[in-house]
Amino acid sequence: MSGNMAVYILKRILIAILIVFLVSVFAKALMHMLPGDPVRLAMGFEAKEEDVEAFRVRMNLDKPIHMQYILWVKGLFKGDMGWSVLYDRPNRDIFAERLPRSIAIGLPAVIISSVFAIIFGIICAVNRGKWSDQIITFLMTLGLGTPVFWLGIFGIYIFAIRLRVLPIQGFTSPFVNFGEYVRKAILPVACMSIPMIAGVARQTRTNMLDAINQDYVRTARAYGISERKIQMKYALKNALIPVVTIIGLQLRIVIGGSVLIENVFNIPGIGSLLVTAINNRDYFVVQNAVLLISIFTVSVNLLVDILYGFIDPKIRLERKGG
Amino acid sequence: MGERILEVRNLCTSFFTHEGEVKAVNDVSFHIDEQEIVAFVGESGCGKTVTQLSLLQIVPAPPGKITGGEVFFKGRDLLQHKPNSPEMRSVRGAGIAMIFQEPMTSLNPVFTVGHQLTDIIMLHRKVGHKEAWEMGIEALRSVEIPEPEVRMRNYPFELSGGMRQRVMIAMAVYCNPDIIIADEPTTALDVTTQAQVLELLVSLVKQHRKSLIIVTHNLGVVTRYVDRIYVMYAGRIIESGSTEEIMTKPRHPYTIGLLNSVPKIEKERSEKLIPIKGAPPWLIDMDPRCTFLPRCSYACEVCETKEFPKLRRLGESDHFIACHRDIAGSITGSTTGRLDSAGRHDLGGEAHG
Repeated sequence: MSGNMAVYILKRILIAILIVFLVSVFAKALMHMLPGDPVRLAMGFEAKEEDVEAFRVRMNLDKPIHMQYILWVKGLFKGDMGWSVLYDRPNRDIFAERLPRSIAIGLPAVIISSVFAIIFGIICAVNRGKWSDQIITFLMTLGLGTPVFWLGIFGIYIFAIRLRVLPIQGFTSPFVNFGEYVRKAILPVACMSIPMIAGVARQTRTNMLDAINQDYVRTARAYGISERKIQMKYALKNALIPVVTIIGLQLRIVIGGSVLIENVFNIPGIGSLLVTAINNRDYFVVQNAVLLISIFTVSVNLLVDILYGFIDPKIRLERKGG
Repeated sequence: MGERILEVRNLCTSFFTHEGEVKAVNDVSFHIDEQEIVAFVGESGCGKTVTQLSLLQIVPAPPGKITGGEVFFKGRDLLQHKPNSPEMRSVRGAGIAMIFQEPMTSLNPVFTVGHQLTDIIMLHRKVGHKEAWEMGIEALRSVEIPEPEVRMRNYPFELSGGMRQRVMIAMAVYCNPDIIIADEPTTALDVTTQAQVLELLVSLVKQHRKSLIIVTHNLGVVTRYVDRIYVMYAGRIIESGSTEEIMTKPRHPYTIGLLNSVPKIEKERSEKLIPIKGAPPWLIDMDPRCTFLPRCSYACEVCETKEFPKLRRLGESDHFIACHRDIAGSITGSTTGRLDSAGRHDLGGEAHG
């Protein structure tokens, strides 16, 4: 890696830090603009005024907002995410408990959906216009158009209630009981994957078809390279470059969780935490969740950008050249 | 000249579009002998490129389809094989290699030049990767690319258009084919590199004793190299003959018009080029009569009534035209090219492309 590449990456990292900083400021500010007093909500309206004030002081809510922000960030650097008003526990414990659940559902969903999406996209492009392409394209359109919560309810109705082969809802950690984890994860992972498969497969199909019509494919064909090799090597590598970006964007779901899926299947992950926290004006949970998701999203984008350079020589070398 | 290596008879290729059948190649017959250099000339869209793609059966399908004819390459009819059959693939590159018009896009952007060269060399020369890589370096050296070892590791976008076209030439020559087809090999290049690249291509073809088909819309650039010329118009060959015959005694009104529209360097600047009036015909639901009729200034009653004229031989020569009239006597003014003292045809080396 040349010096210029290092400069480029450094620049990108600085921009990423700036973005995370801005997001944290907005997250802090936005929640305070919303009506509703978290302390009142937490303590009940019958609570005595001095108790409420004491709690407010304990939570630093009596200080001006910029001081609150500084205290929050200061705490973060010491590994202290603050206290949840709603759960009356340290935020760090709540996140440590819920994050692995979101990952345990989101990560398999992204991996499985990417693999299937690319395979389906290739099948469609290679058999363009034939029945296999038409059926898959139809299912993809259906998958994109079907709301996730409906898919979830439908899945529960068929597999859990009618066929009784899968549990209705819930979550078991894979480290506690792997078999149970798989049984409970199948439906949410599938429901989360279907729209992702549909989106990425359509993108792959379009890119493949585009690549197959390029002049360089005609060159390969004119020199006797087999159709299979043209598709799987010459066209595919070109077609996958934009797909990597889309998969990268979807990775957000791994940590942010899917609000709908987590609610339908009653999985206590980050997605459902965020919704509950917003409803209860638990600023301290919300700001941490937003920050966490933004850090992850920005890092994934950064990673994809760097990875892009390894797939697309043009980008890599343009960077090298400055 | 050696033996006849390629004989094409009554080739027909159509594109089936929503508006109807476009007869891009319409009953085309031609041949090329060993070590011969022939040119296909005509306006854009006259079917000259599709004719060549049809030989290798790489016309984009759908909508393209070869609807008839025979392509005898070394005695066997290539059209008997399916487009993706191993027989057909073994001819591509190793039997007939093609250089395309667009050097900027004809190489794959995400693989190195060396990667692409060795893939093809390994396939046709039946050698291992290491040997193929060495041959690739050799191939790049043969097309006068400096630092071939470095260039092998470059991606196409790191090379100029002229360099890329040299890579394409290297690829074609190192497959060791019998025929090289160069489809407008210099059109996309700037004028200064055009001559170099063409000169290089022809010298390699001669050195390796190959046959060469050059497809071009610009007669001026290629005449000094080619033995015979086929002039195409609206999907058909309308005149063919030796370069000297065509350049000095063109007999089809279209060819005359084509030659008149080429700039000549020795002429006065004030002298205007004479364009062919009108536009090429629509290739769907074609007029059964002569396709050049609406643009022809020599048209007479016969042309208005009779069907499209078949190619006919003029006397004992190898000169063929598809024209009802014989306008040999009525050619006006500054039509034809000249031969210079070296026996070269001189229409001015400048390109107008």
